[in-house]
Amino acid sequence: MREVEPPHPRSPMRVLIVDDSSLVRLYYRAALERSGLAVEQAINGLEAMEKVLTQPFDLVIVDINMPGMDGISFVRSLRRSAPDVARLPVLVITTEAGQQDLGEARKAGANFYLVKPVSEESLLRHVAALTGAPR
Amino acid sequence: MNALHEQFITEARELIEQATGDLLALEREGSAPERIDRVFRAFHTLKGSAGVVELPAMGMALHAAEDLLAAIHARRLAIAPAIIDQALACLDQVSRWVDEFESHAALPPSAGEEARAVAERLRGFLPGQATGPQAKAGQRHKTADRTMPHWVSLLIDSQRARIAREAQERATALCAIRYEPTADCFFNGDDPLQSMRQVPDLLAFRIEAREPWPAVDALDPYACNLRLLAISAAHHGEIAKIFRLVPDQVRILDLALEDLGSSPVVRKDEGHATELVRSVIEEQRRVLRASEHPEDFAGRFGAAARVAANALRHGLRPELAERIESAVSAGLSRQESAPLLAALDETLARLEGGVSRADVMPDASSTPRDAEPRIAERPGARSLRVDEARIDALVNLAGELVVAKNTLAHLANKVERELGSHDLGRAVRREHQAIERLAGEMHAAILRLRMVPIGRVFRSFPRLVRDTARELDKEAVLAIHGETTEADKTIVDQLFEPLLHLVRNALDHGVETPEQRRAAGKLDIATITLQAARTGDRFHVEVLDDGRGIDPAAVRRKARDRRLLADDELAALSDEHLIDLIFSAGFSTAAGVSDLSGRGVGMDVVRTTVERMGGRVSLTSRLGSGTTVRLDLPMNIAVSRIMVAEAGGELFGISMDAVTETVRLAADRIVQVKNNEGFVLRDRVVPICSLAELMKLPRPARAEGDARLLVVAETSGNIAALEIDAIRDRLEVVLKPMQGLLAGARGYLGTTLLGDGQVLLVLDLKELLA
Amino acid sequence: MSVRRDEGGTIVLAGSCPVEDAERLLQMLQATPTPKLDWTQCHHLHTAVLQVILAARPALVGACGDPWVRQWVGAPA
Repeated sequence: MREVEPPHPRSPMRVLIVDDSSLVRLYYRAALERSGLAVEQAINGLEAMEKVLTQPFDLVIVDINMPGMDGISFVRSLRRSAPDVARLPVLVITTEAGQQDLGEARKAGANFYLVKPVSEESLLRHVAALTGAPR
Repeated sequence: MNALHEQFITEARELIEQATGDLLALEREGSAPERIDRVFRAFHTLKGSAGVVELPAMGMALHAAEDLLAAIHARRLAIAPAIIDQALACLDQVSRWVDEFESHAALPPSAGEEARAVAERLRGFLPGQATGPQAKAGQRHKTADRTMPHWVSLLIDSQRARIAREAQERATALCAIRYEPTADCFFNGDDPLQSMRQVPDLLAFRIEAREPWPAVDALDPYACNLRLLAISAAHHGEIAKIFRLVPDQVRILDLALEDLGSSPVVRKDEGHATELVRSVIEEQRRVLRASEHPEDFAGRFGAAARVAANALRHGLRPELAERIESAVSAGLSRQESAPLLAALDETLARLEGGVSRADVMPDASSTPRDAEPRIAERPGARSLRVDEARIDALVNLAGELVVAKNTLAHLANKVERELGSHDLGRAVRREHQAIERLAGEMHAAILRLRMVPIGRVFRSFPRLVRDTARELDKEAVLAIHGETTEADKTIVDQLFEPLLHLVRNALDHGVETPEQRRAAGKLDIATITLQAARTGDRFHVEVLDDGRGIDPAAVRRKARDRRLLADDELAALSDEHLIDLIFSAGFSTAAGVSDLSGRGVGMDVVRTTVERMGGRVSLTSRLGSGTTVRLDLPMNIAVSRIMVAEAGGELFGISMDAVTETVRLAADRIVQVKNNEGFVLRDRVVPICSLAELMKLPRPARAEGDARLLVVAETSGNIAALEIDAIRDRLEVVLKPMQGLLAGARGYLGTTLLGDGQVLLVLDLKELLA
Repeated sequence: MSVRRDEGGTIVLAGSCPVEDAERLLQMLQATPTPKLDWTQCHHLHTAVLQVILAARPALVGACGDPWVRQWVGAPA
């Protein structure tokens, strides 16, 4: 029995970006959509949980620092959800000063991280690697 | 200016405003964790945004503020007014930069220096001895700022990514070079650029003028006015050798890697795609090993496996991906990560490549962190940003609909009269009523789109009061009520200037010095109050102060000196009405003229501004207790309430805004005042003007004892009555401004279309009666 | 001649431009209301010549032929 799903090359990859800054969401979304990805947004962990529980995604990009349910709490919640949702790959965005958050993020089960400011190129490369998209 | 920049500007301004409000609240009310957190978050978000639009100078300043706030939150530092001042100053600077960015899509060249100055002042508050990783980071930056000259920072900023990348690859020291050749170096046979060309491992270079360049005509081609700056990865010794002949003109500084404030830089070339895949796989190992809670095992395990397989496929190693996948089912059934870990280890061994970059990626930290700040819930309003132009277009359409529906009523009458059909007439009238109701509702709904809370104008005042009071060496605090009262956006926006005048006046003239207040038995700190409330379809705003109040005797004296009124008129005025004179141009009761209010008042400007909006200003005061200025305003301007009056056989519109009442006056109440007729209304003498006469129309014949119909209007503190023959209608209309030949004519507010197609002239009572 | 003017009126730097060229270049720039400078054929620039270009800011045609200047100074606007 296969537990791991291979990527579906035909339909666009779906990415959820979670950040409380509308500017950052705009920036990531523009980059990702230009790359042919389908993008959904959420402004905090709670909204993100609602979305992942009701729509399919291939990757979640989440800022560690958000009011309300922060990035780490979101990842923990995610990992305790129903199996098909819990296995969602997660990329956390942290600040250089917040690198101690990284340990917590790993413990919570986040799969990779990027440090702000995130260049478009870096974002796209990491998204490609984490979703298994072709080079 | 693209969408990203526009959004940055809008968001930055909102954040600056929010942070300012919170900082002021912190000062007033002392330290509250949620508020500190909100301020911290605002600076943090601003810093992030500055990074997105690539404004490193702004980011630098904000970073310093962020560090400061973090220290405050962790209780390593107590809040003090000096700190709040600097934080506010930082926001001011950021605000100026945002404006600059809006006009020029870039920051001025001085930004780097300004940012450093701001950052230094902010970091200056940080306690010297600090522990914990977060503080260490702050300290590291502090050291960098204090010892690194700003020309080095600027140079680093310009090439940060490249420098960081190459520095990490070679892992050697860095040197910063500053070469200022003497003015006559060319005559010594020097070619400064040639020396620079010989510097190995150059990472950054910049050439600039030492003194500003003169005009081309005055330029001396052989006087060297250059400064050459560079960063190189070569050793200090190597570089010194190159410049050994001009040691006095060159400074060489050793830089440490941390000075670059580096983040793990992901390299660009193709060959490093494998690098990325490897780092992703390594990270999944760490994630698996960091597992603590059994209940998230399935999710964590599944995600790690999925990501590892994805990365391998992305890196074009599908066979390795399959190995991973086959290890997954074993692991899941046993609830163990061991099989997957083994598979990952094997994968890493098989991947081509070099050394694990453990030095670049920090391992799972086991040092106990400072308690994470309780993150406060952000109040979010669900709203839509709409282009103002679209709303204006809607408002115009709605206005035209109002006029069109008026036409229907007229048509209904016509149908009945001309066609003689009673039933049809009634049916049309019924439909008209239905449409009238719908049009009214829609119009109201659309106008509501333009409604904004007055709080948005009030918002800038707390800071203003604080700063102005300080300037005047007085102590005052601002109280705000009714900030949710809504009015048309245009009106609210136009209120700022008059309110500013009034608040400044209150502080300047009304509020006493702390000593004076104490002597009068009052609290040292004065209170200025801004309050707003709705009254029917109008609203009012009041500015109150608990200062010294206005002395009627002083006003009387001044009015006499300035000859504003004749002596007998002055004597006849009661104290309340006397105070109104303050609104006359050029009037001032201030003993001296302070810098602040210029000529002392601006009350006349306040009055004209407010009246132009369709409002009224009045003032009450009690000597020793304080003063209240009240602005009465319409809630919206798009539609005017007018009265259709008949005079001399013609119809005119009179705006209801200025009308205080209509009076049917018995003939025996008419009195003669000088050459005019007038009457006494309560305890005031009101002159009467005939509209027919004003319009040069024949006055209708009238019997001596007949009552007269008067419309009483109060404008600019003057009261007068307009005599009309009849009131025909009251309407809500959209006024069109006067056009063409009559555009400059005085006395008219505009025109509107009546139901029967007639054009109605709407009069400007204020000008008529003046 | 390493500093000359072509038929179109553009000032051209060619070959190796030594310190003496600074004065000649400046004179030409002063004599031309909106000068254009073609430095694509100049493979070595003396500091004094570069200084004149930085101070006078003529419109530049193409990238500098001196590779080091091209890489590290770019095109001063």
